Amino acid sequence: MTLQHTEELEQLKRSTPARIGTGRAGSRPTTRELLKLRCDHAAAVDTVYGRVSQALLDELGLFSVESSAGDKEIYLRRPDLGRVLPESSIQNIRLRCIHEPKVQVVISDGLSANAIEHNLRDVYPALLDSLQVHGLTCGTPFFVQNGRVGCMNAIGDILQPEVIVLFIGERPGLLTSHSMSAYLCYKPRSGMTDSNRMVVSNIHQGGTPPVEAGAHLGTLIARMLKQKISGVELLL
Amino acid sequence: MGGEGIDSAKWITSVGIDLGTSTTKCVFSRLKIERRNGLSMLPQFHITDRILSYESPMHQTPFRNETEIDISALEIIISGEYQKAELRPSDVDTGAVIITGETAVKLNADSIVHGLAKQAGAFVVAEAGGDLEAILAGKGSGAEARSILTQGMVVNIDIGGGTANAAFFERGSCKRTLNFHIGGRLIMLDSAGTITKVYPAVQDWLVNEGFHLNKGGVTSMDELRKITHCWSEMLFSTLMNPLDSESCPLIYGERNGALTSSENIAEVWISGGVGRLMEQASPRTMEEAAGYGDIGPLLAEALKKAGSAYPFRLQVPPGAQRATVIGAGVHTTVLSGSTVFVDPHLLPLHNIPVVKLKWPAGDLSRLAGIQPAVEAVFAEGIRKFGKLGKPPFAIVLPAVPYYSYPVIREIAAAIVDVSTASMQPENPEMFLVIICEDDAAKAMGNCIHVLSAGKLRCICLDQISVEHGDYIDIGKPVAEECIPVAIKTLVFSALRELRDNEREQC
Repeated sequence: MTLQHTEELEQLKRSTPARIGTGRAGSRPTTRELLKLRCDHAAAVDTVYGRVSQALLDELGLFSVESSAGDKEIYLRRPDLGRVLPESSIQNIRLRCIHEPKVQVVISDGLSANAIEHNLRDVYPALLDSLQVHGLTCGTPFFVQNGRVGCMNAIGDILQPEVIVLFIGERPGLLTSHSMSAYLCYKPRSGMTDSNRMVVSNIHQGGTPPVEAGAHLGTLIARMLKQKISGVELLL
Repeated sequence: MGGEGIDSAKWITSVGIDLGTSTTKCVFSRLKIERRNGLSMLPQFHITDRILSYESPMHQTPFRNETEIDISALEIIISGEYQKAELRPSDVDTGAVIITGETAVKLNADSIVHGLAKQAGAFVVAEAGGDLEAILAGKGSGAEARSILTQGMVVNIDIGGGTANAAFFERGSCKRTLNFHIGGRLIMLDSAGTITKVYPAVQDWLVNEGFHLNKGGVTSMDELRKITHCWSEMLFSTLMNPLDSESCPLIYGERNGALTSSENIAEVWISGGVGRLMEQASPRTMEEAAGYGDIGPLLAEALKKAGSAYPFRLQVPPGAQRATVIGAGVHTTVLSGSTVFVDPHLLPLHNIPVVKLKWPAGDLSRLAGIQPAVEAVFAEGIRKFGKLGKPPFAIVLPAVPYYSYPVIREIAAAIVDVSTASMQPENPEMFLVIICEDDAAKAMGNCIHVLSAGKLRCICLDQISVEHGDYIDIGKPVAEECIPVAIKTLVFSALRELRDNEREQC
C-alpha cells in the first residue's frame, strides 16, 4: 500500500476488526501493535480464569450449581467433567426447578465469564420477549459454573424440557473476549451430539447483536417445537 | 438434507417501465435471493444475481396532444409487452414505473403512474424525477459498479430527449446528482432545417444567448452546432466545478449532495438516447442531422468534441439507451435485514412516507430524552401525513452505537405510549411501520408487542437506509423473513408535494 491508497486502506480497515494495515518496523511489527497483541492475549487468558459476578446472578434471579469439574484447572484439562453434574447439583436442580418445562434456559461461564457479564443483560430479556410473542413459557433458569456445551444433555435428563437454551462463554480470541454462544436442542437427553443442536454464535457488541440474537432465538425455538426436531434436520 | 436450507435460492420477478420524452420501453428481470452467511449467524439474505430476462423494443411515447399522454395507447403498449414476455401482472413481484425527463411535468403524469402501477402488477413502484432517474441510469449503465474499481469518481450522464441527468458515483455510492434541461429533442426540426418545435424549457436561454429560433423559421447547421457546443461545454464544466451549478441557467430541480469546488472525476459515461447516437458517425448534411426530427445527432457530435478537451475518459456504455429502464427494473429493490417482525397479512404496503427520528444528544444508554424524541417524531408525522393511513407513515430509527435491552425497552414503551394516545382513538385499525437502521427490528417488534399486550400491531424492518422525504413500498415476504423493499428516494419535489396534499385531504 502506498500513501495514495490511504483512503482505500482506511475503508478496508473499517470493514473488519482483523489486524490489517497495521504497518511494520523493518521486518517486525511496530511496538504499538506488538503491545496491543500482548495486551489482547493477556485479556484472553484472564477471561478464561474469570468468574461471573454474584451481582449479575442476583439481578437476573439465577441460582448457581457446579459441574463435576470442580475447579478451573481440572475444567480446562478434563472437558468431559464439564459435561456432567455431581449429585449435589442434580439434587439442587431437581428441587428448585419446574419440571418438564416448555423451554429451559441455562447459563454457563464456559471459557469466558466476561462474555456472560457483557451480554446476558441484553440477550436474556430479549429472549423472554420473543418467547412471550410466540406464546411459549419458560422453566426456572439457573447458572452452571464450569460447564461445557454437553451439560445440556445432563440437564435434559433431569428436567425433561422440550427445548433447552444454553448461553455459554466462547473461547476468547484476540479480537474480543466477550463473545457468547447460544446452543439450542429439542428434547436434550444423554447421547445427543452436536448434530442435534443449533447454535447462534459470536454474540457480542461487535458481532451478532445481543438483543437481536435473543429475539431470533425465540423464532428458532418456535420452529424447533413445530417440527419437533433440532440440529441439521431442522428446516429453516 | 440441506439442514438450514442454505442452498435454496428464491427468484423474484421485477419489471421496469420507463416512460420518456420520446420513447417508452420496458424490461423484465429475475432477481436471485439467497442466504449467504454461515449457519451459526443470524440469517441474512442477499440479492446475489440479477438477470435481464426480457427487453422490449423502443416505442414512441404516445401523446394525445402537446401536454397529455395518451393513456389508452400506453396501456396497449404495456400489456402487449407483458404478453410478449409471457408474464401476467400477478407474476411480477417488484419493480418500478418511472416517468422521466420532460414527460414528468405533463399534465396527467400522476394519474398515469397510478394507473400503470395498478395495471403492471400488485407491487410496482411508481415515481418520477430527475434525481431518481440520474441514479437509476447510473446503476443501469454500470457506472455505479465501475466506480468501485476506479480511483476518482465515475459520473454517469443520462441524456435523453428532454433532460440530462448526472449522477456522481464514488466507490459504489452516489454522492450527488445534477439535472439539466439539455436534451436531443428540445429543438425539433425537419430535414430542410425548418423549426417545428422549441420546448419552453430552453426558450429563455436561447433568447438570452442571442439564438432566435422560432417555430416555422429556418435554422442552419452552424447555428445548431453553436447551441449544442454551448450545452456540452456547460455540462462538462459544471461537472468539473459543481459550484458553478448555482449560476447555471439550464439546471433544474433540487441540488442534492454537498457541492465542492473541484472533483477528481476519472470517467464520464454518457447513457440515454443521445449516448447511443455518439457511437454513430457525425452528420454531414442537414438531412442527416435531422434524421430523427430533432437535434440529437448534433448534440452527440458536440459532446464528443467538447469532451475530448477534458481530463476524464469519456465513454458510452453498452446498452446506453436502456440504462434507465434497466436501472428501474433491476436495481430498485433492496432487502430488509432477515430478522424482522412482520405480520404477512398486513403486506404488501405502498407509498408509505417516512419520518426520521432524531436521537437526543448524549449517551442513549442513560435513557434520557428518548420519550420526547419519540413524541417529536410522531408529532411531525401527524402534522405532515395525518393520523388516518394504515399506516399513516413509517418511522425510521437512525443508527446508534449499541442497542442495550433497556434502550430497546425505553423506545418501545415510548412508541406504544405515544401512538396509543395520539393516534389509535381516531384510527383503531392503525398499525405501525418502524425501520431500524441497525440490526434490531425483531427485538424492537417483540418488545412493542409485549408492552402493548399485542394490541398495537406493527411491522419492524431493519438495515435499510431511508431518508426523510422518501416513500417506501414493502412487499410480501419472499422467504420466511426476507422482505423486499423499494425505496423511492429523492422524488420529484412537485410530485411529492402533490402526494402530501392528497394525503392531507383524505
